[in-house]
Amino acid sequence: MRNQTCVLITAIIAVSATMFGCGGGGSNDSTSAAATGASSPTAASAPLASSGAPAAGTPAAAVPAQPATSASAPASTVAQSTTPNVVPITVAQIATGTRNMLQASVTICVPGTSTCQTIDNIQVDTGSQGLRILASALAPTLVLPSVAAASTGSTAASCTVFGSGYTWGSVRTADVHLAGLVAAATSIQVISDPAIPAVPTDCSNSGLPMLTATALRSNGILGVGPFRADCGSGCAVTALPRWYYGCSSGACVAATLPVAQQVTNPISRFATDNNGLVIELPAVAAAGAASVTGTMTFGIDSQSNNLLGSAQVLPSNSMTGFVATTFQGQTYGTSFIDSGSNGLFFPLSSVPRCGFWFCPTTVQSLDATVAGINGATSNVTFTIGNATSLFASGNYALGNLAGSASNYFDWGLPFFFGRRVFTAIEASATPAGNGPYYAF
Amino acid sequence: MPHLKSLSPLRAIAAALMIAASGPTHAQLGTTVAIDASGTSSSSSTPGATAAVMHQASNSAVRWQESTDANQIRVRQYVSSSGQVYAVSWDGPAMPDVAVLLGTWFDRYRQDASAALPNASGLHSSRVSSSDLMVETAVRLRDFNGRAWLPSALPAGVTAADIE
Repeated sequence: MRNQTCVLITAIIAVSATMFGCGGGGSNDSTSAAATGASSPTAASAPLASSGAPAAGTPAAAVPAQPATSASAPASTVAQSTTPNVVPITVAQIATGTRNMLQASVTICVPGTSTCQTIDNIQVDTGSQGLRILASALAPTLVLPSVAAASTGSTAASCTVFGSGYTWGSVRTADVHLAGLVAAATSIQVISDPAIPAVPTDCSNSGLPMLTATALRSNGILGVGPFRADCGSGCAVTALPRWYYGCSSGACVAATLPVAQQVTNPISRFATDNNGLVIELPAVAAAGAASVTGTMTFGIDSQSNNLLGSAQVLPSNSMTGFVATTFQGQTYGTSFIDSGSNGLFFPLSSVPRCGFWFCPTTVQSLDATVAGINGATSNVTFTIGNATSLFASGNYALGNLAGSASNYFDWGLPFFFGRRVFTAIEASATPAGNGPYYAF
Repeated sequence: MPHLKSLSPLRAIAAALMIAASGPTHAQLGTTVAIDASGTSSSSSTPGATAAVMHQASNSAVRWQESTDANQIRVRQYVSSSGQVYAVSWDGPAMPDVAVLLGTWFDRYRQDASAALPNASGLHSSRVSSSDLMVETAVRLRDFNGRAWLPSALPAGVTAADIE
């Protein structure tokens, strides 16, 4: 409901060409606002409805918005936009008690229609690509088209392996609405879809199932990482095990799937504001906070609320998405900034552990340097606290939560507190060059 | 898939013995493989895959059999002098069949990982830590990586840090 209110207000304001982003974003460039505002009041036609109920009346605009052209922004490679581009995000208590779960609400519609549903408690993950939603969270009326697999008569399914377990489900298309932006007819994964065969052994042999809200700790995952598709060209060329499957006659076998049909980062499908995002969360005290709210703003330098400004840009490897982190004399080439990890994870032998986590007797202040593949660097000072005490605090937003990892450096959600963190998508133009990169 | 992981000093000095032989490519955690007089375990190659090759670190007790399958998933089995597979590790563009690699330990891994979920580390890694079984998995963007070992079976002179 919050999204709907926000969109409507913005649509009204758009008439006067004085726009404000939703949920705390800044104002827009007045020149481009005038240009786009005149062409299409995008937000007004976006179909949005409360849970389970089809939106009344308004026919869907599957592909909104004419991108503002270079006439209004001659110095920029990025089309300017006035489409509302801010979605509120929260870290708060959730049913499973898991800390540092960054969540948002997402609205999906049957492509090209106003049959829509808003699903709450979707985890926001910069460490993967694509939207995945539990079938059990979807209304029966929301019938999404299946994506066909290569062999005739078979439908596409996906076994998506995360570090914590796998999701299994169908690949279907939906119009994905985030703020006023729409990723039209975009492939998503419907987890535990009863319309496709049960998990093949091949998939379940990967580890732990994440096929329920309890195991998933959410109703789904919104992957907004540095790539366009979850797997990419590897799965288009080779029928890799534990990625894509074709299902027919009650059985599913590993199959190739073209990149365009793979589960896709919705941002890359927006008409504007499609080159990345910036996540902004407030700083939290050493003991954490009960909850925090922040913003997820789409686009980089496409509006006045997503300007890179003085942020240090750190290009990442175009194949792996990794940057490098140097910490206590060691350089870890496998390093990434990941809202889907709920702590900072890195090798550290000098601090006592409590299971997976670090449990120093007093808060430790540490320094590291993050380097892009072009040699640009940014120094990061961070603190780690006693995980046992943090878990016992009853707080759910924990800025000092950290644990051990072998041979890699994962800047998880605590890194995002008190920062504006940009993730630029591969092969997408920004004023600082093409993605993939991180900037903060 | 390229990997940015730099060679550790240990791996850099490891001497590959470059001998392929016959038998199962993927011996399971905790099982025993035959070691012949030259110190080479038995293995076979599958089409499109590289033959399993035994490696030995020149200055330690660490010895592993390494193979890369047709999908570029690299698997290592760490083998004691008596032929016991005390650890496995993997890395590649897709998850390997972990059930095959962990063998009889797979169900235990899933039970322990499930029990640890509420306070687990998020979407992109997991760790099972008990006195008799350690498993770490990490999926970072498009890179699938992990290792498992039996702490009580580590040979003298071998630590968890040697399992890469």
